[in-house]
Amino acid sequence: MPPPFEEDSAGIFIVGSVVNGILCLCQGGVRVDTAYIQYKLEQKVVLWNPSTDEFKPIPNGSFEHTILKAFPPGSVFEDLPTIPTLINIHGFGYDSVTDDYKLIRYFCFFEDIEKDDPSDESLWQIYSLKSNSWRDLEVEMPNHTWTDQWQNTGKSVYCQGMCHWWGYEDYYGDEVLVSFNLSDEVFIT
Amino acid sequence: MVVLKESIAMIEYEDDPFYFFISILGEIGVAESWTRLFKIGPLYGVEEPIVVGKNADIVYMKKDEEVARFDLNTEVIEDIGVRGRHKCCQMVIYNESLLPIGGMHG
Repeated sequence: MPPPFEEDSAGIFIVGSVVNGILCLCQGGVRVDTAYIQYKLEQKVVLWNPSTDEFKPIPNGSFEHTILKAFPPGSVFEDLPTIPTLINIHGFGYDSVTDDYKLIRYFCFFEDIEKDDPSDESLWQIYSLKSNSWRDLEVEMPNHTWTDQWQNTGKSVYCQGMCHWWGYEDYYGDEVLVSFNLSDEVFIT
Repeated sequence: MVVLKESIAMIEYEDDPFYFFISILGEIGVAESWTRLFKIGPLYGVEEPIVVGKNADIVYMKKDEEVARFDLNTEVIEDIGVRGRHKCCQMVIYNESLLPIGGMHG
């Protein structure tokens, strides 16, 4: 295990596929600042090449502004830091156009995380290794968010410049295959 | 879901008796282009599939959490000496590469 996981390797999963010999390891993904201490997890994401033992921790980035965009002042949530948020990495892949590795993550928000009932508001962000930062994506794609460790069930893969995952159109909808192109940031189902 | 021969493939299964079905997606975004390649079974004591390997062998978890491999060519089943925990096991196909991860020096 690369150093960030040496002390605690519980609940690690591999995101998607191995890309050019690199694994994307992920641990945790729920953010709750108050109330439910047991959910107070930080997400750790690390790119790791086991052959060379090189690793690269991915910054969590800022998402306060992202949450503010979803919930402008005066909206349903008055106290931003207490919004339980599930951060779900949906894909890891390589963009040959820009020679860059990218990650896609999805935020969903719960008024009450004890209830399995996420808010309609949701957000996507994309990470670029070259810029070492996350930025918002203006898309609405079917997501897979009902469980926080769904990647280890093999429901996401990377193939030829695209990340693919099984997503849900809505709560009661069917599963659809979402294919996201890392170069032009367009998806098809 | 797995990548087989540069295409997206999925493993479906039905229980009692247990069969695996491996299908491949011909064209991305075209649901009608799923083509069923293999039907494997019946197999016994299967909990769920984990992955399809490069040699079209299928790796699955048994009800006792032992991980087994079924070789499509020889139809031999063998335990691979790995156990899942809490009926949970993840596997990926690994290609070794000595390339640097990059992006770290600017």
